[in-house]
Amino acid sequence: MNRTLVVARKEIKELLKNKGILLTALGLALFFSIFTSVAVSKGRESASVVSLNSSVFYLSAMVGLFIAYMSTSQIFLREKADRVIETLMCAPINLRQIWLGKVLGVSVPAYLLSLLMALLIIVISGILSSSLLVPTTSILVHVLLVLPTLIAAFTGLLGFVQFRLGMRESRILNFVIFAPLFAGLYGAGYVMGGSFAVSWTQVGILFGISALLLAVTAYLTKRLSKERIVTTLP
Amino acid sequence: MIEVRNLTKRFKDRTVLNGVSFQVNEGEIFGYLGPNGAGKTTTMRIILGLLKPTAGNALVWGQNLGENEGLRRRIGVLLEHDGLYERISAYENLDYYAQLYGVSSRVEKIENLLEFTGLSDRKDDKVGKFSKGMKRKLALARAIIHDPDVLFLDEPSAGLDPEAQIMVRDLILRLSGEERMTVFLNSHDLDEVQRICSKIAILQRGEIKAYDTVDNLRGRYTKPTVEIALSDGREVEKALNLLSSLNYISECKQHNDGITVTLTESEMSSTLLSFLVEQGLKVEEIKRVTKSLEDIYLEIVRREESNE
Repeated sequence: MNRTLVVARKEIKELLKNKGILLTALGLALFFSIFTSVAVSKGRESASVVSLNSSVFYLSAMVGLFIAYMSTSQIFLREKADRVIETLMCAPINLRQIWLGKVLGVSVPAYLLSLLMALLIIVISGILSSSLLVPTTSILVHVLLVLPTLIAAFTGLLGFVQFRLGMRESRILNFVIFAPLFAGLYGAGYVMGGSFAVSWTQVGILFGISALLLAVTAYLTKRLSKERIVTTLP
Repeated sequence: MIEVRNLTKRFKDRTVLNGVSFQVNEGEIFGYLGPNGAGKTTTMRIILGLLKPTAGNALVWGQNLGENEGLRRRIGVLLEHDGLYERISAYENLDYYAQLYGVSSRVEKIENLLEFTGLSDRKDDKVGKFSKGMKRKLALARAIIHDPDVLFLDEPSAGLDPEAQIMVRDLILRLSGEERMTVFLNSHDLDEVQRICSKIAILQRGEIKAYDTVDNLRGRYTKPTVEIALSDGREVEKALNLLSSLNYISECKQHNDGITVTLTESEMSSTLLSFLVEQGLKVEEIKRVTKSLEDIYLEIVRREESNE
């Protein structure tokens, strides 16, 4: 099996065994699905679709990023804290493969959970409003294409930075990132009101930013050195 | 096989290694000794390609391990930290590395190693629940899962009980003897090094202070010394007076109920014995004193410290 996939599979396995992260992620997905669905189903049908679109667009991204954020600390930072990375770097695998394997290991579960949440919002909203609410094509494109790219870009950049920085700096950075993420989740209520309509332009811009970020991070990993990682171990 | 030439490593203003050179040949067990902070781990990291040297080079089979993934397939590593994933099981840890190293028939290989290290019963337990000794054994199993040609070990016996230490020692000897595996051993355990290493280097403050086989070092650092036990302890004083006048004795001192004599040449021990008998002293026992590696190590390290 490809070594990148070996790393990715191990990371997914390890994440699934981490009950804390698993329960938090599932809890987030379920809570926001139900909470949002109730809000969406209260409006008129035309307003409900707008509300559904904005909720799926915004929340799937926010929850996906939040899960990726929690998992990245476990997968990248913890590997440095436990000094496991040193042994791994002696194996016949290069740093980019390690980075990519870990990005996949975090992004796949994070994306699947946000996808699950998007599906739950659509299904529960439909049940509660007793009508079939279908999101627009732009939202489907967002969920199927933009969302995985965004999560992978965020994970990749955060993982890259955690590999490069010392433990203390990484922890400070984590704290700094946590605040806007939490505020973003907290702000979900404003989006669900239906005053925010998602257009193709917004979906396109988000995809462009995500793809660019992913490409830049992938390029930057060429500059990642084993020496840098070893000298920033605790 | 492993060739380190004029290796120098500086971190900002601090020089950790300064012109270190040595060579390890195929099938050798090489002991790399030195006090904490001497630069042993830095040397190993440079050889493994985890750090880049400031000057000089460290090559394995003539190549840099850091730049050659294929070559890394032929080395096994057990670093100071076990490098195990605590949230997955012992079996899964070994399986992960077996896949990364492309081990064929890995299920059988993993089962055999777990059996050998006595961890079969715990193979499905998370490694986080293991004791330090169990983790070390598992990490050792991981280091040899792909049958490497060269094995790098950093304090392999740390945290192990005496029985497990013997297991590790026997394993290293077996791998070197039967499989012709080359072993690079960083260790503080001088007894272990003395028992298994064919060649050693002593590093202090980033510089090699001694580099040779254990026997040659012993020959170089051990002055010919004998311990003499007399039947009558009251004769020790008289013996000391007699011995102090002999020109082939460089030092003699009382040692418990006997005398320790340092000779100028080792061949003079029989002459010494004849002399004592001729003087009417009743010699109960005379034995040659050999220095342990620990004595030699301490002598070198202390001498260097006093020079600085």
